[in-house]
Amino acid sequence: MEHAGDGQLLALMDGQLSAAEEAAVRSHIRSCPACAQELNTLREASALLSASLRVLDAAAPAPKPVVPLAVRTGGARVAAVRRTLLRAAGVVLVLAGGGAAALPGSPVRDWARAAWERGKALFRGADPAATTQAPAPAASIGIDVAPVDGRIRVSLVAMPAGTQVRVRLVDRPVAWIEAEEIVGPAPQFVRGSGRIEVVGGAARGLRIDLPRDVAHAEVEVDGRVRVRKDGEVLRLATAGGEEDSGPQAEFVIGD
Amino acid sequence: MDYDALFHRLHPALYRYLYRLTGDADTADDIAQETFVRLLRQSMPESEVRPWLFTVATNLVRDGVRKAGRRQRLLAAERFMPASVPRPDEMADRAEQVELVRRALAQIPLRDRQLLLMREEGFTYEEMARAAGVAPGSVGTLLGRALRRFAQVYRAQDGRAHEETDGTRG
Repeated sequence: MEHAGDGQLLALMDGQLSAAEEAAVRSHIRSCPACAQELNTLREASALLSASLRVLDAAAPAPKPVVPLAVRTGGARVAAVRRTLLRAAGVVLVLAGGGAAALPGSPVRDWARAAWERGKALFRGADPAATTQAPAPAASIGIDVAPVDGRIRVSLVAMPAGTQVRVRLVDRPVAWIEAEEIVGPAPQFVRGSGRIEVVGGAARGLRIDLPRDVAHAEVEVDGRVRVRKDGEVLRLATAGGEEDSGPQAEFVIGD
Repeated sequence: MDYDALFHRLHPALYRYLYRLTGDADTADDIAQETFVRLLRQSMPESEVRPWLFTVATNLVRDGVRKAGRRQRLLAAERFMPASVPRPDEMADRAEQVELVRRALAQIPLRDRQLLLMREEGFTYEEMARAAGVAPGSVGTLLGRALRRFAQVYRAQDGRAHEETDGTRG
């Protein structure tokens, strides 16, 4: 085999090769220091990009939450928008999209965000007034964390009993932790090098996606390991010891 | 399609992608919501929604860049400030880091930046190829080139920044 190109090396890193292709490229890399060096270079560049993006993310303002129009705006505007919606869905959507693009910082942007909720109702033929009064859907928030030296640790701290935790292995380079159906204060995410703490809050569920390629990954609850990655499977700690859960594991905090 | 579930599942990732792509929170916010509004007019299998959203959002960014040109880039640079800053020295360091990353990303052509950032979101090469309008077989090569370019520019600027700091201190 000739030297592996960037395309093959990247595809190897990202798990995008067929089994036969992967075996061939790995075999070549074992006997070719130049290609092994190139693979390391690309891995370092990839890690640098991921770390840099986390710096960027930390500076990002959170997207403004989508909440019912009745909460965000006064009654007059609700009535005005409702009338507009009743006339034509397209008018609202154009107003919202165009207004937001043309006037950043304008109150029109509030309409645009809320237009999603009302637009849905119109396209489904539902009563827009009822939609305006409906409570906001429970929010969810998530965060990613990249492995460091092939390791990821997710620590759940002081989370309420009854929180459903779903862990699964995914074909992605970074882990993704998402608090779902937040019904009170949002959990705090504290991200460190190859680790993340999810602290408190009031989410009904927590989804944890762990990279399949990472060598070591653990999910611990208040200092006790509940799930650990063991090769291609997850092992769930139970009262009787550990059980093989395959690529997905579920448990409830407090059980 | 369950639009509610799709919105709550996909909006955070789309916003994050757009913020990384443009370096500007307002632009990311506007384009994310515009993209979801457009989704309302579409009918497609749910499995195709995520790549569709990222493709349309990227096209909106591209169109916006064409229309606004230099003015938008200048505005983006001005707005790019840390969200929370505990201490003045940390604020300076963090702002410098953020600016460094933003400048390094800006050196990468939009299409290659799109591929890099979609990779970070866990898209397959097939999905990335469709979104960027390139052959699936070329995605790895384009990613490799873009990664190398990013690392080269970042390290060069990082070295320059340190030299400037040392010069100031010296």
